[in-house]
Amino acid sequence: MTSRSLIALAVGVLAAAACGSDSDGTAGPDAIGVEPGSVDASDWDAVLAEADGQTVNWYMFGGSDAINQFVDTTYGPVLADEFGITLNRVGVTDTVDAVNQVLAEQSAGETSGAVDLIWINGENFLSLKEADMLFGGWAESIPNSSLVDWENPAVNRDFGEPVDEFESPWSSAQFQFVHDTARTATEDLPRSYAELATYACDNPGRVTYIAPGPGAFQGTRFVKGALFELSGGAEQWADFDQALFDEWATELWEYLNELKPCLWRDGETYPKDEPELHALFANGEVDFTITQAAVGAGALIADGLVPDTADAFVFDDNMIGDFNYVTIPANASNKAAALVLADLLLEPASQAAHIDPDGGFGLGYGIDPNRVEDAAGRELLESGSASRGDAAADPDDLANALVGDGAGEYQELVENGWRTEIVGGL
Amino acid sequence: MRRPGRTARSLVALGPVLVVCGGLTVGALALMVTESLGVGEPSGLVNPGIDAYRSVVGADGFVEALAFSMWVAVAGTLLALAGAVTVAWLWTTRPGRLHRVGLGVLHVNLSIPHIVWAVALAATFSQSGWLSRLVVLVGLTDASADFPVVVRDSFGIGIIAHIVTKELPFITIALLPLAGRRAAPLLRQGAVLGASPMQRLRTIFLPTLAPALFPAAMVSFAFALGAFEPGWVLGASTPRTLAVVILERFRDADLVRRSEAQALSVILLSIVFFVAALGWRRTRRWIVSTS
Repeated sequence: MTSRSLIALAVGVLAAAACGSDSDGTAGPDAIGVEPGSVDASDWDAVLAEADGQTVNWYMFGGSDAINQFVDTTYGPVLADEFGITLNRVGVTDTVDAVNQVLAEQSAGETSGAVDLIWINGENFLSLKEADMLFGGWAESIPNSSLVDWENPAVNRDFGEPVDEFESPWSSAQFQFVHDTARTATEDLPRSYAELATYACDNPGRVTYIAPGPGAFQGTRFVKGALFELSGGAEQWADFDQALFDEWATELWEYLNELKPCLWRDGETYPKDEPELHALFANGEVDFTITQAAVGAGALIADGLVPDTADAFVFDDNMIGDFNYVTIPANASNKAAALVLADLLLEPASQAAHIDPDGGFGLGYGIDPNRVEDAAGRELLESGSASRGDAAADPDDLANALVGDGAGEYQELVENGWRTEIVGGL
Repeated sequence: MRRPGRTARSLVALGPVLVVCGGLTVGALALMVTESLGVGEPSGLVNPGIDAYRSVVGADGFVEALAFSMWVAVAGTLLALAGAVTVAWLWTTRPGRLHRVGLGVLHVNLSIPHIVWAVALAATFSQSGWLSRLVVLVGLTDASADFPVVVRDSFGIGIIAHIVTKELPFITIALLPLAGRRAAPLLRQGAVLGASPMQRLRTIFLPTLAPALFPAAMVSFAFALGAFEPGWVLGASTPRTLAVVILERFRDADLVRRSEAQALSVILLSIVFFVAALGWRRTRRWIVSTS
């Protein structure tokens, strides 16, 4: 009786612990590379013919109502009416969930995958590329790829990793700060990390930043900006160099540790994501929040997350900007439809619509507007740029401060280093 | 003594549940162990072996994170246990009309998902929360920053509060059937025979509840140690509970980190087993003799 009861108890306890753990079994033995019947993106008529009647399952971060609604109401009807394609947007809490799905399918030998297209970030792109789970050879063949500035290193490298035609851009973003014009005068705003430290210590507890870490790339980006400023420029960080990082890391941690006692709650804790920082800002606890949008604070104001008097601003330099992309898994079941959607994202009309804070989601262009020859398309893009609203940072300031992100390898070094050197602990 | 056949009949009756729950649990456990050993991960990215265990155990702050996890889980469980015994005692010794309402409140609390409860606690008790705003509004403090830090604090007060408020109803409901059916008549007899309230609590009430006390506390402890929600929403940037570290590493784009997450899960589960076995050895005499 005793041993049986013990086993029963153990099973109960195990089940309870299993509920609280996160083992969803997304990978298993016998990983194999799979690539079912491919399509040739250079034969566009054949792609369109094959895509007709398909459903494209687009896995994307589902945390933004503005983006969700835009995707459903802008791309969905066009795909259905013009191409006979059904759009199925699958919202995930973190892009890594989509990546885990693909890796699990790879492990299970599944050749007809559930994921057709992923809105992806650099880290996850690298994971799938390394795992050999991406469909390639299409990004520079789809018709609208001619509008993309593939010569630009910020476009042809994602997080320092060559894109190699495995992904196609959707939109662009640039790190910016947001302040409340009703609380802080424009002339009092810090314009560099050095000035930010002075501002923070003159106004104790009024500044904080997002804790860098997986899923909180905005915090990592803030810290990388400081690294770029301290080391005298962003260009040297484009390629990975461990010795370079070791050389400057000490100064970076020194800067952040000196900043720490001046921060919100003395740097004892940091907001873990953008919504938390927005809430602190909206509640008047801190003076600055951040955004990545071309419309600056516009999208946040529209969502009611920050006061109407909020406005975006940038430092004079080291405001990291980059492109974001869509990619197709090697085992995607509906590759043709995914290609059509990837192409639709680059249409000048789509691009002009997504930048508009009114109905769009306010991120920047993925294409180079100067490459658009069609007059109507150019006009749309110009009016799109003009629609960025009053809460956007000055376009010249943005352009002057723009720098590319460092090589992908620095991401983990910065995140791990920050955890060890600034907050301590696991 | 058991009659022959009873065990077999029980097994048949429990069979479908055991197959489903056991299958899922054993399957998840097997994946956890294999992934922690880097088996089955894309070749070249993760090396099979015990690298993940070495890496997490040797990492700066592992001991602190483990100690912090144990602190919030043990403190949370003990407080919830004490609270649940108190509620069950009041329930049994003070019959009244509020019983039905009280039971309703406990059940409503149980039906609220943990993450929702954690967010509700954060929205209420954080310095940006509505309570701090209310306090400013009525003039008790000048600014919301003056409100005491009970959420995202380094002692884990917010996390413990979450564990207590969610586990207290769970343990109470586990205790009530024994309290009502078995303890109540015995308590009345004790009172007739002149036992003081403290004597009745110690010699009648607690021993009668013992068969439910330990398993309920153990399930609560296992949950408190493994749940990421309270630490994720209510915890500070440091120290973090191991469950939060596991979640973060499991979701990392770097697959090596995923192996580390699974290694930490194995370690956490081993602790639960160890505590369960230890607790069982200590309390089985109680449980077996009274059940």
